[in-house]
Amino acid sequence: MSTTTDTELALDPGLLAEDPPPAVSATRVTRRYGTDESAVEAVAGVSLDVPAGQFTAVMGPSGSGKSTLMHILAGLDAPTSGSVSIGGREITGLSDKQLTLLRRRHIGFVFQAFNLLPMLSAEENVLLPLQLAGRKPDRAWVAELLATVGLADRRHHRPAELSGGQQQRVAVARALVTEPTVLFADEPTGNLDSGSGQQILGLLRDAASTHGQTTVMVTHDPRAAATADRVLYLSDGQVVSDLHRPTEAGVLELMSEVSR
Amino acid sequence: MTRLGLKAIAARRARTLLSCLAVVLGVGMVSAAFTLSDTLRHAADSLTSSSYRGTDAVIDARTAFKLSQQGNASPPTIPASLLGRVRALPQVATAIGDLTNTQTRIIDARGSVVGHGPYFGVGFDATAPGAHRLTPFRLSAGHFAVAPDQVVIDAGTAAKLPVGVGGQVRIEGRGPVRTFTVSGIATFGAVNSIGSATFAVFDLGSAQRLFDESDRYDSILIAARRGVTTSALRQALSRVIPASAQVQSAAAQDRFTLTGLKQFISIIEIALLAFGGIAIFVGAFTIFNTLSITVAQRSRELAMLRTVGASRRQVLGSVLLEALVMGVVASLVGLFGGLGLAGGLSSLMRSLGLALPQAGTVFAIHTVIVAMLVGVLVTALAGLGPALKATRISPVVALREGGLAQAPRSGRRIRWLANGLAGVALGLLVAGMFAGGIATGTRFALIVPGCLLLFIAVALLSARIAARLASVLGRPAERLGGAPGGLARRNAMRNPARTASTAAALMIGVALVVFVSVIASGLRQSTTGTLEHQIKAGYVVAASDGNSPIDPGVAGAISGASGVRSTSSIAQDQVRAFGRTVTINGVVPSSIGAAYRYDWKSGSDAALRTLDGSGAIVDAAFASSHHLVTGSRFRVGLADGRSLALVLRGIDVPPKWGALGLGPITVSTSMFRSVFPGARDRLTFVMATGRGAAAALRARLSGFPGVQVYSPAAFATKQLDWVSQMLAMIYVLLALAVLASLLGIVNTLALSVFERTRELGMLRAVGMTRRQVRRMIRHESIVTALLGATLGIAVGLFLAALVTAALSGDGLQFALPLGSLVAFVVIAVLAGMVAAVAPARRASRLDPLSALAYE
Repeated sequence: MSTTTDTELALDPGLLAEDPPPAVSATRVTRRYGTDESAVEAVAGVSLDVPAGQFTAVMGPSGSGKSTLMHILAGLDAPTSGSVSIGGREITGLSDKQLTLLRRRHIGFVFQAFNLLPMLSAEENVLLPLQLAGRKPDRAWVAELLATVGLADRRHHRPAELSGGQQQRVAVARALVTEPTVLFADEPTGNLDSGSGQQILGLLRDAASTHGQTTVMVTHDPRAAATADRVLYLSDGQVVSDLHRPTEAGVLELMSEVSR
Repeated sequence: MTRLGLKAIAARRARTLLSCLAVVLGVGMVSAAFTLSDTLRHAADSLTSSSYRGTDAVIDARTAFKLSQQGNASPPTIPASLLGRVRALPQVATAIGDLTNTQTRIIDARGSVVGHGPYFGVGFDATAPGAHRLTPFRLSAGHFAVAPDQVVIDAGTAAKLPVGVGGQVRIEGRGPVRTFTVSGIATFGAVNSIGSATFAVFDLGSAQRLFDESDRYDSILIAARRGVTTSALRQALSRVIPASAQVQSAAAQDRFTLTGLKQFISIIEIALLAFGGIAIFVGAFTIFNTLSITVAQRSRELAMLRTVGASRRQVLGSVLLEALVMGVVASLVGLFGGLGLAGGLSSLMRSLGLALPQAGTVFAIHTVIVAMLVGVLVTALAGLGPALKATRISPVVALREGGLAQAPRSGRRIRWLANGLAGVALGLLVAGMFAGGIATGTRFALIVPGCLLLFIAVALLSARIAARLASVLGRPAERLGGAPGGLARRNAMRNPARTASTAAALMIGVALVVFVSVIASGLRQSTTGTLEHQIKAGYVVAASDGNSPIDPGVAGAISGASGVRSTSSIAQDQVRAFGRTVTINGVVPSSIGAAYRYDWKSGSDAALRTLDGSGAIVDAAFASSHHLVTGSRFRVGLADGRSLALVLRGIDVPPKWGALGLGPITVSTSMFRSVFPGARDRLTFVMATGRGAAAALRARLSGFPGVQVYSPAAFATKQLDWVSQMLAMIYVLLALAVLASLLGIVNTLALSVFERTRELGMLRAVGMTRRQVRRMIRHESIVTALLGATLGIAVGLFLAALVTAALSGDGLQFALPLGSLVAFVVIAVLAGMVAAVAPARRASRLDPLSALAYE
């Protein structure tokens, strides 16, 4: 499928420059839990495009469906209806194996709870996605990443020997090591003090700005959201606001507007 | 708190069941052991009483000493003339002469001996009125033998052959095989046959000729006239019999060796109990593991209970209660499962041809008490460690952020305990094996607890080296399994105590298997080496089972066969020397030197060739313990009361490992025959040239189907048949212990998967396929199994080395069965793979979303 797209694009270089496929694209996505009348619609018809290189924050109150939406965009959960594509490739309907391989190549994750393997060193944790994929790590790239997240001198430490902020920085490096099409971050600062949280946001911001790393971050923190290029605000499973170049004040205003 | 403990079990029903299974297996074995042996013993008792019931007294020859049941003794007989005097007594209703020996083999159509002995040959006087009272044989078809060419055989053999009344059957008694017509088929009391025995019942007169006992009986069986008491009968009888004869009860004489049957039952009982005990011991490890892991996983919950006011004692109680309930349930299931197992075992024995009398199943109260007590106590003991650990969880754990709290460490005390246990274990083992002059029972009473303590000590100590060992053993997993293999290795290393105690359960089974196989290979090497050294002859002619005595006519049948230069037979019987019953050998002085190697301490082959009427050779051990030197004179007693004066002509030093079963005293065959006219041969050596000799020998031996021609190597192999059979049986029984330990691995893996749910979710999210998840779990299981195998091999080799050292005085050698050891490792790997199947499947089906879900 991707080869035909490549051929078509190759025929018309102008088209490629003008209109690259969005890194993430969702069309009329719904996700319903349960089957009878008491069914709950967590995501109720969301359509969105995240252009390559954009840092997008997804906000919304608890139960607004922001986490469910992210799971669906990342191929971890299947939508009840609608479709999702990553890097121009349709992912709805893929088998578990195909989805796993897709996650390997195209998706990076940063979790709220860090989720590092306790028996591996920082560096080994970073290398993990490459090793699972059977890819030879580019040592220079890994060293650069560890330096970027500020852990070059702690790469042989185990997670238990690192602070929460340091652990989350390892997790960010792990997510970036495969140079994914899109990085998903689920409340990445939720377990951190504000200083450590700022460092993480800085890293994500920097990855987007200097490397063009497409990033989708779920958060409920307006300060975190303000570091993004764009804020999508969800309520009752629908996108109720789409704010570009947000400021913290703008986000706060948006929040109070919606909750009114 | 009690309800909490019970609810904890209810909440984890599947896991609880799994960890109980090992105890169920063990208790089941114990219960089956008691039930089966009680049932069999009851049946054997009723068989004994019914077999000998009608016989009020037996007259047989008085022996100067008790002949051992080895089969190479020719018991003295009584003159047939005595019967007339007995019959003349007014107290006697019926008296008949009887011949009963155990060397009468029934031959099947392929020329093989039926059954595994004893091979009963009986002379029965069916014509005497009232004779049926005096025999356990009950005709189910035909009539008792009345002519020289007729025989009655047992129903079991008749069915096996198969042959019916009027059919022909070949029987090898004294001399070459002869063909008889089956005149009738009989049961032994109510059973078709006993165990693997066969019966051939001849007419009494024909039997006397057949067994070469003209005008002699083995015994006279007597039924008292109505109204005469047994004691009155015996008094009357003792007045008419000569001093060389004695009166006793039929049960005391036990001509059908039913006491042997009861000994056999006791051996089965002990074996089943031992292996049941091993399974329970392994089960205890599983329970210990499960409870340890659940205590660790529940540490926050237990800490929370402490914060809301639960005392240490209440926490201890709730965990102990959990163990106790598991023990009671598992033991109950095992107890009744054992009944079924006993039934299965007895039908297995029936299908193997070990027909035992049918009687109602005996389910004795001691079965219930012992099985329940052992099961519950062992489980409760296994729960004590985890329960104590639970009490040391500090309440503050409940308030701590993050995943699982680390259980408090008690490293130094554990190490101290483990070292202490290891020391005590070694002390018990060394004392049990090397101490001189203690009874076998005492030895076992020292060795068995020594082994148990050793296993526990190694399990405790291995936690300290488990990480390093798992790291090494996990290398292949890392090489072969890629990233998942590498993770598996790290997972096996991350909780060394847990990996070690899971592996320890497997270690026990492997250690015992290794121990047994090393000892067996030592037996093989010792036997083969010894026989290679001793036997100079080209062929050995011996019984088809390798051990039974053979007919003296065999030597005559083969002499002069083409290619045969000479033959030399060794005959055997039993004598009493210096207060001990020993085997005496009769050899042909002129030819034995060419067939058998003597290592002379004193004397020479020349002295051997001139062995005269009273000359004897003894082995060095016998000579030194009785202070004999060449020229010494000594006497040996015969079973019939006579004694024999011997002069020592030479002392030889046979290999310490007595593989040929030769006795310490050797005399010339001419003197031997004059004293033991009816004795049989142990074997016949054949010195032959040319390739055709074996075929020529076999042709000459067509009249002796129960005899075979062996090369010395084949003879050695035959001597070791019992080792192979024993080994196979022990392996099957130990497989149960290994199975129990596999359940432990399954359990630990399942608990670990549960514990690592979030980790697995993360791995799936960052690109681990389901197949990689399964591989990771599988490799962790394999590393654990390899750890168990490694520890087991080490402990097994250690125990075997100890036993070999203890028995080195008897010539047992230490031999490594490398092939078997490799096979055990391969089996351990396969077992690890099997144990991983269910937990791996479960892990691979986990939803990656679980990593993102936050409580």
